[in-house]
Parts: sequence; structure tokens; C-alpha cells
Amino acid sequence: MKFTFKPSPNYRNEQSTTHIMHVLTIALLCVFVFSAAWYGMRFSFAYGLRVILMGVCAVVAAVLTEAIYFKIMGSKNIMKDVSRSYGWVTGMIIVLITKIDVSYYAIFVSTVIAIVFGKLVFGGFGQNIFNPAAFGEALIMNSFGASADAKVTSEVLSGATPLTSMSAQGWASNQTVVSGVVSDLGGFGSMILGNYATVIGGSCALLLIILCAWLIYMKVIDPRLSVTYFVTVFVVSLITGLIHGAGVEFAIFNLLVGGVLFCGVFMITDPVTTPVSIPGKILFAICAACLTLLIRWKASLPDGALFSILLMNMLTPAIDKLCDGSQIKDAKTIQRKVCIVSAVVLVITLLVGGFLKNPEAESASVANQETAVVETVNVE
Amino acid sequence: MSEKKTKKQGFFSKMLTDNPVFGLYLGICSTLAISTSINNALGMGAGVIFVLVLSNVVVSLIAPITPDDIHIPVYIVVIATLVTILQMFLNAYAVDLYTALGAFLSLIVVNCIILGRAEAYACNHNVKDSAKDGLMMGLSYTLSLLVMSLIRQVLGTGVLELTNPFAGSAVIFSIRLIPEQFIIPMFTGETGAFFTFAVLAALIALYKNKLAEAEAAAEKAAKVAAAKAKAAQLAKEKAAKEAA
Repeated sequence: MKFTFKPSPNYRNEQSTTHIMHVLTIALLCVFVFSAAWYGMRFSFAYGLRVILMGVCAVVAAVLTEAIYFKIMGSKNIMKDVSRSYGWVTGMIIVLITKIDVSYYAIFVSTVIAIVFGKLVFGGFGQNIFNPAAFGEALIMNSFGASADAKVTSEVLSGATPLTSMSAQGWASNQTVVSGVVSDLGGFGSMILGNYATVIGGSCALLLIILCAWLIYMKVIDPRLSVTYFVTVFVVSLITGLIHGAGVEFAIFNLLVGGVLFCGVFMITDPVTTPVSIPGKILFAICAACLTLLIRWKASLPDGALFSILLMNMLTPAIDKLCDGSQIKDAKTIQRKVCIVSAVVLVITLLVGGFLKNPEAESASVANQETAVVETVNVE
Repeated sequence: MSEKKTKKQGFFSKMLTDNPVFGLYLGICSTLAISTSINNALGMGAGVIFVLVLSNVVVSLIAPITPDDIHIPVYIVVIATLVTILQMFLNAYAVDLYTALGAFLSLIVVNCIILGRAEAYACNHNVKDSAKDGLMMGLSYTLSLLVMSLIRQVLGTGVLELTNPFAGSAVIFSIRLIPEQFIIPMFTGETGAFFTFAVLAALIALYKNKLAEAEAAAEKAAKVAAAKAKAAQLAKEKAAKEAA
């Protein structure tokens, strides 16, 4: 019997990794074209160009870094190694999940560091622990916040973004608040068509959903990951919304804003950094969705999708171990384990969601109580 | 590495291969935390050299009369005394450095390098060798700190600056090497510390591997030469016998 050893992703069907990556590149290019066109028409031609240049900058940084790395490592055929390392996908995703005011320098440096420390030192494509694009974006968020182009910020991102206006309310919002924020953005229709400024590639929900369907049809991404992720985000925020009296609008809002759709289509489906088994994938997606909502609702970070994926990447080996064994013989045991873990995660998220409080309302009520106390004292 | 080989190595090469931080992975905690500026690095390095040399001397003196069961507490008391002296001295004469180093100054007590050298070297060597070893280790530690803080300070703030800790932090020199819009602030934080540390440790490991490879190659060549000489001698003897 002959065994072959090669790094993941391994597929049972005929599709080669190269084909998958090329389809993914085409999908990412579609998002790029839309974003460049939207920024160009909504603001000015310069901003459309800026989107393209940011993409070029990241792709050049990624490919150049890999070429230099393979040269140092004594590769015989640098062109082949670079084309089998798919660094440009990382570069494109990094640009699509940043905001438009990030400087070119930040993009360049973060891409280089993400490619070297996020991917190449682990052994290159197929061996990395963390999603390199998420790694790069985390670097931009943590290190280059101050280097943002002030002129671009004031012209494009001056207004309150949907996430900031909701977190000002502590996310504990009833129907009127959600409707207010949504109508500020021009209603759900405009949100689905992507007619507002958020992360570069994350605005147009319709485009992302169509691409998601196409990629699933082409068998490029695993529907178990994407669909479970979206469904969990929707259901958990629906229940939370119902508790606070907002309901379906709150759920749709949570699904559309920020990077949830983009990360759900392009990042959580990375076959390298996600579990191998089917129950493992479902557990991964449920946990990532819950973490996304927890980080979004309670943490000081702008959005949770990215960091939830990074955190879950770290737990991928643990999930793989949990779902270890024969997938047919031990199916019941594995299912039970997965059910228990996901139930715990879901209950925690729902409890946190249920106890969300509006800081303004709270301080107002405290102030009311104080005035009431003062009044009673006066009466006495 | 045996005594003989280390003696053959040059001073600098030995400093690299026997480096406590990047070679032996001792005292990493303080290295990661302190190496934000070359000021801190030099201050911490000087402090560690002071404590390390004196503790090695004292330990090598008292080692013969220390009961084996309680030697670690005894060594720790010696080290802690020295660190307290250092701390009080810095608090009196270099307040800025004292505040910058903070808890890591008192944490010299539990720095693995110092207890490690006391345990591994000073307790069974004479005073002179122990002092020399302490100085050597302290210098390597300072060098590692200095290299790391140099990289982190230049990339993270763009400015290379050295101040005089004894004279109210008067600036000795300050050069801007990288314009403000091109700095990478990440390097002043923990992320940058780990990146820098990993890269430097990898470089030292590469150097060590190369040394080992060269050594193995030399050994192999020597063996081959010896075998050849032996074969030649045998052939000679055989020829002589046949002739006889």
C-alpha cells in the first residue's frame, strides 16, 4: 500500500488546490471591483483608485516577501513556489477587511509581517496555525491605528458607523433604536446593497451572498462552516433581540454590519486553519459565531468577526482532538461531545446577550434615583 | 559543550553560543519586558552584572560550608540581599531608571540566570573562575538586552536616545532614524518583543547549527584521514613483508 504525505487541504474529489485558489481569487476580485466602483462613485474617483492601489500594494508586498523568502531558503524554482503559496489571496483579504483610511505603509508592513510570521515560519501554505489575513488585520488594528490618513478619515468615515452607534447604546436596544440606526444608513435595502462605508469589502451583503452561493456551488468553500456561522449569528441575536424587544431587525442588523458576512464567506472557510472533521467544522462555526457576538457586544474592539476567527484558529487542534476517532463508528460519542460543548457556548452567549444593559439608560436611572433621594430629603 | 572546545572558541563566538537569553533561554521574562529602550537595557544589564558577579563570588566562598539540604534558600538569601542593596542604591541615585525598571528590578532575585549560575557553576569552582563566569554571563545578558532594545526602540519609536540616569535624565544623544509616519508602534509592545526575540533566537540557533556542522565535517575528515593513513601503513607493512 502506498501512502502519500502532503499538507492540508486534502480533498477527496478531483479539484486541485490551485483551481480552488484561482476561483477564490476571482471571487475576491469581484468584491474589489464593486468596492472600488462604489467608493469611486459615492465619494470621488481618487477613493476608487485608492482601493485598487491598496490592493496592489498588499499583493505586491505578499508576493515579494514570498519570493525573497524562497530565494533565501534556496528554492530551485522560485516562480513555482510563489505560485503554490497563494500569498496574493492573503494580501487581498487583508485589504478587504481594513477600512479605507489605513495608510499604504501600514498595509505593506502588516502584509509582510503576516506572511512571514503568520505563514512562512510555520512551514508555508498548508502548515499555518492562524489565518494569515486575520493575523495581518489584527496587526493593523493594534499597531497602526494612529497612522490612519486623517483626510480620508474625515471625508469618508466621519459619520458614526453602525457599530459605534449601537455600542453607544450597549447593544441593549429595542425596536425604535434599531430602526433609528438602520434608517440612518438608508434602511435595510441600502444596507443589503452596500450603500454605506464600513470595512472595504464588507458592505455589500447581496454581492457577498451571491459569491457565497457561487463558491459553494463550485465546491470551493465548505457550506457547513459558512452556513452554520451565519445561522448561529442570526439565531443568537434573534433571541437576544426578542429579550430586549427588538426581534428580527436586531438579528438582521447583526448579520449585515461589520465583517460578519465577509469573514463568513472568505475567512472562516480557510481549509488550513479549520478542523478536519464535519462535526468539528460545525462546532468551530458555532463557537466562532458566539465569540463574534460576545466580542461585538461586550469588548472594546470595533468588530468581533476577525478576532473570533483568530481565537478559534488557536482552538482548532483541540476541536480536532475532541472529534478524533472513526467518524462512522464513534459518530454518537462525537456528536454528544459536540452537542455538549456547543450548548455550553450558546447558553453563555445568550446569558450575556440577555443581560446586556444600556449604559446611558442606566446612568439616567441612577441620576433619577439620586434626584428622587434628594427630593425626599428636601421634603423631610 | 566541553571545556576544551569552548576554550578554542573566540570571546564573541562564545558569547553567542553560550548566550543565557537566546542560547539557554534563561531570564526571558525580564528580557521581553525591559528591552523597550537602550536606557533600560543598559541599566538592567549593569544591575544584573553587579548582582551576578557578587553572588557568584559569595556563593563560591560559602559553598563548602553550606549544608546540601538548604543550599537553595541560602543562595536565594545571598542574591536577595544583593538585589536589595542595588534597589536602594538606584532609588537613591537614579530615580528615573528605578521607576522605569519597576518590579523587574526586584525580580532579579528570581532571574533564572543568577540562581542557575550559582547552582551550576559557582558552587563547585573557585572564586576567581566564578567571578569571571559571572562577568561573562552578565555581559552576554546585557548584550542580548541591548540588541533587542536597539531593534525595538528604533522600529517602534524611530528615535535612538540615551539619557544619563544619574543626572535627572539629561539627554546624552538622540537621533531620529525613522520618520514619524513610518514607525511600527507594535514593536514597543509585547507582540514586537516576541517577534524580535523569536528572530534573534532563530539566528543564534542557525549559527550554532553551522558551528556543529563544521565541527562534524572536521571530525569526519579527520577520521577519513586517519583511516587512510592506517590503510597506507598496512599496505606498506604488507609490501615490506612480501619483499622479505
